[in-house]
Order: sequence, then C-alpha cells, then structure tokens
Amino acid sequence: MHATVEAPPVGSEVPASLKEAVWQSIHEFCVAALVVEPGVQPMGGPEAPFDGVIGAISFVGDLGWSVSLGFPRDTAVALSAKFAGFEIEFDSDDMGDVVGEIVNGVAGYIVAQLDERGIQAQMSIPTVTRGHELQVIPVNRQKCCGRHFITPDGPFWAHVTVFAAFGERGSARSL
Amino acid sequence: MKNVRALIVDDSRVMRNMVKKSLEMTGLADFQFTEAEDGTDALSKFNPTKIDIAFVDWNMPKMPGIDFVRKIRASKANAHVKLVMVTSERAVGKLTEALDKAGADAYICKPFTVEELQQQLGKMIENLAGASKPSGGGFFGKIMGKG
Repeated sequence: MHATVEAPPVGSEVPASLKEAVWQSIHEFCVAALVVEPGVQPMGGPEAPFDGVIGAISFVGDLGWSVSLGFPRDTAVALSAKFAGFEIEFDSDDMGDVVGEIVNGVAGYIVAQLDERGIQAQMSIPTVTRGHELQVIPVNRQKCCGRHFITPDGPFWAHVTVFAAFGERGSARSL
Repeated sequence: MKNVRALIVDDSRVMRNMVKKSLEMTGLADFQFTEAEDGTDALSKFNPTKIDIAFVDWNMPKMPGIDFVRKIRASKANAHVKLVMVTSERAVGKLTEALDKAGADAYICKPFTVEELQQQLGKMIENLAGASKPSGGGFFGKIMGKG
C-alpha cells in the first residue's frame, strides 16, 4: 500500500476527554497485556509513511470515531511475541490476528473509560492492514490527533479520528 | 485431576491458543478442547453431552458470543454446561448483560492472567456436573477392579 496524498493536520478539535480516555487506555493495556510501560511524546506533525502494520477499530454511540494503532515492523514483531507468548512472523496471518486483538483490547479499556464518564460507545470488529509506506489519512473534515509511544521494543503511534464534527450529531452530549 | 471438555469460541486463532494454553497452565483440570471460530460455528459444534464448559469471546463475525450464550441458555437441556465470557469488553453494562440477562456463568476480561483464571474458575470446575473424574488409578486400581 502506498501513500498518495498529503497527510492532514493533527491535533485539531478531538474532544479532550476522548483523547484522555484513549491515551490512558493504551497505557493501561500496555502495562497489563504487554508488561510494558510506554513513554509518550506528542506528534510534531503528520506521521511519516512506514513499513509495518496498522490496526483500526471504529466506535459508534455519542460520537462516530475510530482509533488506529500503527506498529513499525520490528515493533510489531516484538510486541506481538509479548502478547501471544510465542514468536509470530511479520508476514503471517497470525500477525494480523494479534494486532487485531491488541487494538481490540485497547478498545475494551476505552469503552469502559468512556462508560465511567457517561459516554456511550460501541466498538466494531477491528481491521488490520499490513504493508509498505502506510499512513492514516483522515478525509472529509474529520478531526484527528495522534501520539507517539516509545517502548523498549520499539515505537508505535496512535491516531484518534472523529468522523462527525462535534456538535453536528443531534444527540451529541458535551464532552 | 478432573477431565473437562471445553469449547473455545473466538475468531482469533492466536487467542484460542492463548486461552487453551492458559487453561492448561491453571492446573485445574485435564482439558480436552474443541474450537469454534464464531457463534455460528460454536452452535454447530455444541453438544451438551460432550461439552462441560465453553469459553466465549464477545465480538465475532457472523454471530457475537453473547448471542451464542443466549441461544444455549434458551434450552434447559444445556443448563449444566458452564458458559464463560472471555472478552475485551469490560464496561459494567456488558458484564450485566452477560451475567444477569444472557445467562453466562462467569466473565473474564482480556487480558487475563493464569492466576485470574484460577481464581474465577476454580470452584466452577470443581463443581462441574458433566466432567468426569479420572479413571481408577493405575496398576493397583486395576487389580482392585476400579480401572
């Protein structure tokens, strides 16, 4: 898969409570499932295209939005082995399986966090993409933000993308 | 150790293997596993005379695990089979839906540890109605007519 368009601006107008729930959930999942305490750094700009794997999951409820986790190849291999308890080849079907489970696990934490804040969210089944020069490209006025995570096993990043501009949905509640 | 026939229902092959391995590591029973990829597959493989306990993921294609649980619980013939949700869904509402409304017997959140499985499943497996005890022991058991 090759990137063919410019990456969008990051950091614009994703509700703060949503961002917090996502970042905290990623951290909690990493500690619980991967026995890794990730360091963080804000994204200075659009994520550069990379060789690796992206797991994405969508949510519906009070907002329509998605989370995607991008793992460069070496990080994917290292973290998938930690998750599964055995080595997983990058090009195998199992790699897609594990990355899907990782993003699914993170989503579980996110939904629970939002639920505690009175925000409804229902997760989809995850999708996983593997390839070269991958890049998440929000389109059509989607709001997005991202964060880099640093682990001893390598870096990964997360994107939060809101499909409907906040306030456009009739039942959207204040976040 | 008790022989327990377990059905593992998850669309992820890796997760099915992780559940199986973790269950074996608990030391709670000698498990014999049947696997299913989703709720529909699980229904086709389900037999209350051959399954003692099922471990069921929630979010799967074709049929979510919660629907499988509801369908199994709809028949009293399946009442003795224990149904355990094993899922990343951890919101309180989901627990309520599974345990109070659908009829699941236990709820385990992913990621889980072997210790958590032991804690959640220990008593349940001890009391399993359909599971068989190991056959009468070894050489002396056979001499005494118990093998």
